[in-house]
Amino acid sequence: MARYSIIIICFLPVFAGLLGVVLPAFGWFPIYGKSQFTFEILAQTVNQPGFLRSVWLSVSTALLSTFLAYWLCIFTLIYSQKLNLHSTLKKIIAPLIAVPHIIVAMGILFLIQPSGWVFRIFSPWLTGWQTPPDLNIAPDLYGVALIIGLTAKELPFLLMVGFTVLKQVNISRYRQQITTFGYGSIAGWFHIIHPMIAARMRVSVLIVLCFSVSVVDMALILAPSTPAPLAVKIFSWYQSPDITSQLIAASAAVYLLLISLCCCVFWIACGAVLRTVFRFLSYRGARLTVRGLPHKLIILPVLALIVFVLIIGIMGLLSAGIWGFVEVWRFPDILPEKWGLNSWRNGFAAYIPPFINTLIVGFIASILALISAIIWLEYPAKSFSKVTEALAYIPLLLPQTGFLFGMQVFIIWLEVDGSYITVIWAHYLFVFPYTLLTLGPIWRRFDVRYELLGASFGFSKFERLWRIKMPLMAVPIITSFVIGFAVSSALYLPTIFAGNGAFLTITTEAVTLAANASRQAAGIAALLQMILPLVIFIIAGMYIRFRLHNFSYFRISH
Amino acid sequence: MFETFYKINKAFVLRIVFCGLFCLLPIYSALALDDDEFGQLKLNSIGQEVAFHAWGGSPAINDYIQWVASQVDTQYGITLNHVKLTNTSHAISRILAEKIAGRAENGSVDLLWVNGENFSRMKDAGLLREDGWAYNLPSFRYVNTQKMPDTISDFGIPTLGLESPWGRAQFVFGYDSNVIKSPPNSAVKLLNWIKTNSGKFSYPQPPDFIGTSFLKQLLLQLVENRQVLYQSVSNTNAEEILEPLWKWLDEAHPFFWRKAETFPVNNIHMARLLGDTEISIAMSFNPAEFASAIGQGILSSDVKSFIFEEGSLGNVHFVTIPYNASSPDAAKLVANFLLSPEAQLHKANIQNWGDPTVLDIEMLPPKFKKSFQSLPQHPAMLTMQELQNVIPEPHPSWVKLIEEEWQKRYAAGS
Repeated sequence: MARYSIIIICFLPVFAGLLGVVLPAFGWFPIYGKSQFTFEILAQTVNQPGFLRSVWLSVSTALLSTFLAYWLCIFTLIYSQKLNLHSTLKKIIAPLIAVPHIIVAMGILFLIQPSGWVFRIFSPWLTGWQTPPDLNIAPDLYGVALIIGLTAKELPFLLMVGFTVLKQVNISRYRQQITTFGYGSIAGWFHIIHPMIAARMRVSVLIVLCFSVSVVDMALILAPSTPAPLAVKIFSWYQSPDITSQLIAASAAVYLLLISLCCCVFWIACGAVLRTVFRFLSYRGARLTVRGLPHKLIILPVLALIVFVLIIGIMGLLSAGIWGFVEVWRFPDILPEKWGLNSWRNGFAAYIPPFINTLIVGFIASILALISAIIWLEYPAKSFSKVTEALAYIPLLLPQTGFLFGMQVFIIWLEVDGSYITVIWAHYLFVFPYTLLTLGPIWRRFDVRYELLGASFGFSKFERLWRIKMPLMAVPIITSFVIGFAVSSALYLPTIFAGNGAFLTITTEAVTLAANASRQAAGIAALLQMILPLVIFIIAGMYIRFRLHNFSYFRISH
Repeated sequence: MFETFYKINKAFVLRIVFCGLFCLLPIYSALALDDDEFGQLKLNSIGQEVAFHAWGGSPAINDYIQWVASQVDTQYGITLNHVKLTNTSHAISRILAEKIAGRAENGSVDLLWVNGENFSRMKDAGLLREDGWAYNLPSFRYVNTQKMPDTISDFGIPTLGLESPWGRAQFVFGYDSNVIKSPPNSAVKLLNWIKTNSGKFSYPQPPDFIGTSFLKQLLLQLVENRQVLYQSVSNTNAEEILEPLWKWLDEAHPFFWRKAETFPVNNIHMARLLGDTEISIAMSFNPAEFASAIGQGILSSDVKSFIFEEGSLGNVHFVTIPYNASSPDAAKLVANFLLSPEAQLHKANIQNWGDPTVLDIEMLPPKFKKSFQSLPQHPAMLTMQELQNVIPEPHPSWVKLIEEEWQKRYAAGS
């Protein structure tokens, strides 16, 4: 029962939003006297100039970046296991998870464009360039910059999921067995550990894939524009006040829905093929042993790529942050010519209300999401458990541009637009699945014997939950709260649509400034954006350390 | 209970009531100075909130709107909330969504910064408040509609008092005077300059406002008879009229920044590129933009402005009130304040925003006239005299055609 009410809260508005997109796509838009169902608009949309190329760009950038993010994630997991880099990596990726895509995009753009930081470092002493070269990179025609950007942003997210998943699988035991049987550690990974992880990470990877198909803000900056990827075009069609453009936007959104569905099917199919191949190899006992130079030829580029992607992400953030303290910084200066706090003086007071809004909405939405995730996990559905589980992820698996406009009409019709409650609820839609994703695996692994023990004391179900399970699960609960908060504080489109456009958060400010203002102003926005989730990360980290401190006696040192 | 209280403290209560009335007297007399209708507006608006939806990408403009907010708060007791838009059409699609949902009052937008195509579409869709309110604003008496017909005709569309003029925009180029000694101030000279300085020129990608305006500016220069552009597209032989524009672009694009395979996103992006010396010419619709960008450290002080010698595209931007605004009376008061000599003077000052006034300086009280004439100048800004040659905007129907054709020719991929 509890499960179904959560689904209704989550799913109904999304469904209403979908209707609001699908109906206009078939020509039903009564306010303009259009109430005939036709396929004309769907056909007209395909005939828009550059439509197929837009589709191709969306598909290729999404699939490639997800592919890269996933496999780099797997290799990073392998090597962080080998080299014991977990905690260091977690610290490195935290800021990248916390900031919204647009900030990462801004940073990357400044890093790799022809007048960017990389070129500044090598000019003019090495390249001889007094002015920036006229190279067609960032954005480039094939969307390479977008792929780099998406990979840099999604790799940390997948890594975080990967770390959580790894905790579920008792790796050290398997590793011993693998070694005993004489397999190399990487071969062992692919035979035994990867199949277990892959299944557990599938939903997260599909979320990443769907997000990449429909990404707008990052693509606005990093993707080519002649033509732009489909999601960007949909966004600009929606922006046009022209009524035919609205209809075309709606029908293109339907195509985008189909495209992301196809991408998911393709991904799953590829996964299945790969699984079969590996199972075949495993049954044959393939050693997969590659040593010496060939081994290095495979591994070094992969490791280089991982380091490259992480460095690009971090340096991007760093450069975005630096701009907040810059007054003048021109090509080819490696460091700013003039530092200063001018931009802070001008705009700081204006950031206070959005700062508070972000805090309130993020806090309430993630607490609510946490409570409903615990209820969700404590009362599993008796039947259709897989289906209901899938429904929870619907808001993340649909292109946001697709259903949010339809949802907006619905919200306005209910006359609840622009209020705290609506914005919190819109955030909840997106925070809940992430909370479930991070909390679920660990929750299900909870040792039932504790509960049995509790029951033997005559504790009720609630008492068992409150007095035994929650305290024992404090660390994962806090972690998923923190992630929920980070997700909420980075949401852009849902805030705009549910908040009347008038509800300001740090992210809405940052996107406005990043798209429209100087790098200095955007730098401040980027810093503020990073600070809030980071502070929460740090406080949570301190609390976790404090809690674990009591148990340090039990800890087995490595 | 109140009765007994009154009986016992009669004198005290009466004194309080009289004092209260006495205090209200100056407020009343201040209101009585205006015409009755406007006084009523003021009374109605005390304590109201106005949601002003306006593009929010420029810190200078945002600061100016904050200043306006503090002024209308002290003068009228109105709380002005600046809703920062990334694109004006967001607000329009919101009003449209409200209309779809059947919300005829208590709309989310009270005041909207708008002009041209957006205005014409809102007008056609019936999204505007229709009582000719703009002409009745007390500040409108300083607007000279004869001398500046653009104040009542938005891109050739009669405003009918559905929107109130706020400021003027004029198309200007900014250039790096280190690279360019004499700026290419005609379409032909510009083409030659682009060909000899490969990779140093571009324009924001249409449908960006500035990008489309650049195409219009070019077209106005290239077309044989400019008058045809002031008619609706359907009355003309559009294909033939646009031909010289496509010819110019076809010739110039191979020598563009990144060979015209990609374009700047908007004029702000363009200013960044000029600051990074990736390009040597940028463009804007605000004659003060380059000066203020120099002040912010985005551009080097070597940047100067120029316009085409035959004149440059100019228009007026307005504020309008949607049909379903929540507090239309307070919105009118704000619109009136925006148009007042005081607010216009503050806005024209380059240290604040630098947006030219829509008022006729000659008609102002001597105090304001003098202040307007002694506004600070900036070397990167053209003078009033240099900016005098304004070409009015073509009929709005050209925008859509130019944008669609451009999309087909240059942004459909190969």
